[in-house]
Amino acid sequence: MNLTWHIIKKDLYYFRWSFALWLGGIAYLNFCQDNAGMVKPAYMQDFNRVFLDMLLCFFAFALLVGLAQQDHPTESSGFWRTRPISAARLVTAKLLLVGALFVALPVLAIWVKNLFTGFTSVRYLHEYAFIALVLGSVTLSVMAAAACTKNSVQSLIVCVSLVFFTGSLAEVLSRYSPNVSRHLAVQMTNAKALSILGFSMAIALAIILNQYLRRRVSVSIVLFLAGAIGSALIGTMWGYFYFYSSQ
Amino acid sequence: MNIIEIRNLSQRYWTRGSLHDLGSAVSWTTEALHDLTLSVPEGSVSALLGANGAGKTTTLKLLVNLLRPSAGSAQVLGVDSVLLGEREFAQIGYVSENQKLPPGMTVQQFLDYCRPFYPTWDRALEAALLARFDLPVDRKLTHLSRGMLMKAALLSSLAYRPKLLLLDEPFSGLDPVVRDDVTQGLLASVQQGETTVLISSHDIEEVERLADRVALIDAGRLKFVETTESLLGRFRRIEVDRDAVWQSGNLPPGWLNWQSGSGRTMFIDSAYDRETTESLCRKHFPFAAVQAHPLTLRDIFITLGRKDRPHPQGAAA
Repeated sequence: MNLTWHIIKKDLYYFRWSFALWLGGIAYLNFCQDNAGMVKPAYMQDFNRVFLDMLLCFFAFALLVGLAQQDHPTESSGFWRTRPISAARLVTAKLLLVGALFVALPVLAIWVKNLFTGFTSVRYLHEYAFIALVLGSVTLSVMAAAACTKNSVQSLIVCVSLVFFTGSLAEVLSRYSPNVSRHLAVQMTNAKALSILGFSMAIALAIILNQYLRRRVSVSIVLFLAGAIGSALIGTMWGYFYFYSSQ
Repeated sequence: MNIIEIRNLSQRYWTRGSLHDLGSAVSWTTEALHDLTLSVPEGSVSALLGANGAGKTTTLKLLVNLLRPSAGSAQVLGVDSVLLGEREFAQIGYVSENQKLPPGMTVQQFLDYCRPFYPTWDRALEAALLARFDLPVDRKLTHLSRGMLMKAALLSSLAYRPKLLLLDEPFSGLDPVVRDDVTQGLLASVQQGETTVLISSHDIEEVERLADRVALIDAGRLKFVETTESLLGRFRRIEVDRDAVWQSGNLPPGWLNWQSGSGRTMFIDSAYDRETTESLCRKHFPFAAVQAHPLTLRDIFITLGRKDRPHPQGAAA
């Protein structure tokens, strides 16, 4: 564990200014943006909010890809590959760090913000768990793309392509999905969302582990396709699956 | 005992073809290494020599599991190379001209980062090597010259007294002073007898100073392995008086690189033995004055690199 922490410390030091910016961005988003909006002209509020949100998303994307590719899992010129740093130790360090930065920290910020509104009691725990699941799913998916590519641009292309591919597939499938599926899906939005998020996380984790531990790129490509097709199927045929599996 | 045992190792790469290639019998894979069998004894300093693209870097990459072999296997420190783990890598040093060191760190931070991973890291040796290599500890790695970077990489691979040190073109692009620093640093570590070194390099003068065994690879195939002493002993440049009358007949296959000019005929005898060579010379050049001169490893390497070119036998006539 000491050596895992040693690797985390190395990344924390290297990305220290980026982390500071990320923290600042989260703090602004949760604690300052609403107040700042009050003093601006009304027509600027929405634009300002969307612009800052987008900026923070792109920054988080670049930071996450940078973190994953700092010690690239497959590149043969990577320093760690010929040092006594096992792939398991490295991937553990990376997952702990991205989990803390991109899941735990934003959830914590929301919790602190909600301290003043009463949404922090145990009754609302599932709300926080859902936010963590959404953030975890997105974080792991981006990290999986980063582990399969060489730079941020390639990672962005992979992510955007997968989103479009999944969306197009879901659109095509929805035209042929049975009526029962559509009716049930409307009533089971939460269950469907949880299934898609859980499925995405599992596939992304499998890709990350494959890239670090096995380094079979062909397996990762198959997993990416399986993830996209699986998500589209869950999105459109969920009610159908549920209806027949419960009979 | 051998610290490296390579058995029938082959490596093929996928190559980019085109639709045009489909019509012909073009292979879509390139064989970088073919059926390589080689062993490296513990405590030796062995050199892999060969032209560009001969397969030297591929061999070293296979040994440290940067590549998975297409066929065959390699045992490093008694463990299959594809199964090397933290325990083995703590005893292996690998320095390559292509290796990327962690960015954003100073030399001191880089050493501080490496140290905890090695139980045998020697702080005194680290300090001694820092002084020998004259490295600026407060300068960032990204601001170091190529030579300084190579020294930093070498330092980080010597300070834990590795059992095995693999060096891939460590002298490439270095000026003579830095090259000498690196060689001296290596010699100092090797002389203590704890480290086995396998080095791939084009810099044959430096290899000659370091290596006690030499392996030649050509187009992915091992041509020979022998001690540097025996290799230097069996190669001679033979100079024959040009006025000599050449007796026709098949020349020995070990006589290479015929050259004529300036009143002399010269060739390289790759199987030199004083008595045998003198008797063969008497047979082929009965009345000529013959002289034999030793060659450097560099001359031998160039001779072997050219030996497949057409044999100008007529030049001797």
